[in-house]
Amino acid sequence: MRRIFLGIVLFFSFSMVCYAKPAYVNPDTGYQTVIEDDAELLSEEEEAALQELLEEITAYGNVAFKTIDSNYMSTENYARSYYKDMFGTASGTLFLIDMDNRIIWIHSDGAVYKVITTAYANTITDNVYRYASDEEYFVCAQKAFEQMLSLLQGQKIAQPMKYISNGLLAIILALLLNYGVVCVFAGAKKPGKKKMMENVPIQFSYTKPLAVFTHQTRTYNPVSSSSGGGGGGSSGGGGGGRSGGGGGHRF
Amino acid sequence: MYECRNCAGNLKFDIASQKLFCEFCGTMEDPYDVYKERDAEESTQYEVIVFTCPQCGGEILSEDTTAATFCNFCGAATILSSRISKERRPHHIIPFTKTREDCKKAYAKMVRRAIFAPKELRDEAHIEKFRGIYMPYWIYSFEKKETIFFNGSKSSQKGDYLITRHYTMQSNVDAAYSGIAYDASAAFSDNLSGAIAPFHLEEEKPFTPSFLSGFYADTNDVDSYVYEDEAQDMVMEDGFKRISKNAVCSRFHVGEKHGNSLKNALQPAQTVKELAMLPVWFLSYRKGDKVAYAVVNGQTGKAAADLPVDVKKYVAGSLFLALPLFLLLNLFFTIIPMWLLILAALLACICACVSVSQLSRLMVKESGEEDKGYQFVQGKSSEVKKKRKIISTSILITVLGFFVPYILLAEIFSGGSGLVTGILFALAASGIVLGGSLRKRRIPMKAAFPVLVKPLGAVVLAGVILALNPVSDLYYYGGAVVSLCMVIWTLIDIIRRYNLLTMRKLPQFNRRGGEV
Repeated sequence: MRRIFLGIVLFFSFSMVCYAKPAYVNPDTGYQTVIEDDAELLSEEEEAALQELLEEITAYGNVAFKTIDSNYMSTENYARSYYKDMFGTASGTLFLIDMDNRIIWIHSDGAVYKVITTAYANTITDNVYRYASDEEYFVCAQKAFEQMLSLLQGQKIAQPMKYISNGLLAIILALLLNYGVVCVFAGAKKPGKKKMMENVPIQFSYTKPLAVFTHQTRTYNPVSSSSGGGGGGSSGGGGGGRSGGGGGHRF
Repeated sequence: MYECRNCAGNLKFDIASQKLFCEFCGTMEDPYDVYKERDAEESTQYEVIVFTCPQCGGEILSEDTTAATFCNFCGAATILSSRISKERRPHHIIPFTKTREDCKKAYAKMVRRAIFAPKELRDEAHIEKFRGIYMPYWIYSFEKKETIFFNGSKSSQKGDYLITRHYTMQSNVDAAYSGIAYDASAAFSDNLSGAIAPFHLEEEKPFTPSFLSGFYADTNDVDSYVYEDEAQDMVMEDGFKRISKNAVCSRFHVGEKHGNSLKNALQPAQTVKELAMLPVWFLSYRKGDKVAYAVVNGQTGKAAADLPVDVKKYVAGSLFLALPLFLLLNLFFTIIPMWLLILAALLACICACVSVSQLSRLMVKESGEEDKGYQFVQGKSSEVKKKRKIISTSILITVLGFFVPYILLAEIFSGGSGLVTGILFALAASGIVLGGSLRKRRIPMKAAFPVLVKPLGAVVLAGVILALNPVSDLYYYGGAVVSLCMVIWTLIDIIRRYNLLTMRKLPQFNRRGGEV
């Protein structure tokens, strides 16, 4: 029953998506922008300011900003479904603020996903989640789109913690690898019995063993009567191919 | 000292010619042609000068009256006190065939691979101190030439009963194992003597003391019975493997069900134990209150050594290697803060396992359980306790065994909400397993605490942060950085402990002269 209810809710929520109209279509590339602030987190001025930023991104792909205040699935799945309904498999990116799960999420696909990878999506959301925690949703979205644009323009974004953690991990890996080297070339080891015997001159011969019957014993040993049932075969259909991906952060 | 017939100079054994050589007049003599009256072959003893180290009590024998100026065993640079003594005459000797130059080459080749070894180990002046020593070995030979009887059986199921037909198996065995060698000196560790084995015993010659001229010899202070059982067990095990493979024995389940019966039947009928002097080039390296040895087989040139690590070199080498790894990680690896913290905890768990394993080995080493000869001289029971089982791998497997399936199950059945619980559960489980391991290895908490406080501190910190599950990344990054620093510190401790395992305590022999 709960599943049917969820299905109905999802159907209606995505039916609404179909009515979402692009705010801007780039005449050169055909890529479009979509802003849907269902959770009403931005003022009209903020939406207009954000729209200008999103238009710049259409040089590289579709772009959407979406906020929601109720969600019956995981943020990742919602973002994936929403993106698919909006842009199909075309290249683009989506920034989602899920107020229900209190998660921000970036989902990208196509050529844009090759630039804004899952790792970068995680980095960007790591960089901006604090604004969402402070309820500065416009700044949060603005900073996120700015960083996405920087990446698409071939620039770098700040990843200080990535370098610090990778630095420490590199040192640990190096220490471990060198410890392995030390152990491999460790000095004196006592040889095992097998190795010792290899160096001993041995003369060994024996005649074929002869078996002489001595006695017989009988032990009570009931045969188990349980019978195992055969397992039913099962075949499962493969899941559909997935494209795109992203990352997010709680706030 | 063996005097030259022509000039009364000191005759010394020359490796190249395998003869005694007078460096003053060039006279060469066959070692068997030169002897003092007290060297008479029928004697069970021979007279020799015993040098004793005033610091460790280590003794070394020589035919040379020149004062020895350093001790091989503890590395002390001191004039060793000397006295004439009668020693048990060995049956055989294998003369040195590898010269000091050969020995230095073999040693240099081995040390080249030890990239983090202290530079002193490569120092020419240090390598010059290699000393040719005849090490006493017990050579065991076993024979069995008789009919043996052992058990066999065949079973079949009839109704609710298992019918077993019992047989007495019979076979004529003709077996001879010759030359199982164990060092008979407490000063020479079993690890080192084993590492430079084997010696080609077929080249051994009857012992005459003149072979020792120009070299030293170690005292045989370990009785022949100390290794006899071990050698006999090996022989019986080998015989068991050979016979139990036979098709008839397989048919009568000899190997599976009646192994002991066959092994007992293979008990050697005749045992010969002979003392032999085998050639070893010996070098000691002393640092503080620790000593490391390097040895080269004087017959085959096989080298082995305790190779400590220079911690500064190791850290510098690791930092150098870390650079390309850092670049590689940046290219392909971005990790979210939570997983970084989990990774840090996992690395800390691995470090804890390695530390426990080292601690256990260290305790075994310090108790002398690994070396029967040393135990014998120290007056301890020659019954060596069974080596403690090294189970660090099983700890790791258990940790991963908890970790991976639980996370997967949590992901599948609760949409990921059980992830943190799973991790905490795994960390707690690893703590329990680690505690169990300490108990099993009989490691007292007093010894374990200083070793485990850093890695376990890192695990607990990670566990607390994961349990609190804060929104801010700062907690995760802070916890991960602290945990990773703890891991680095623990790894450096592991290297320091490795050096304790590699090097040895300064020996103290329970002999006259030792400052026990």
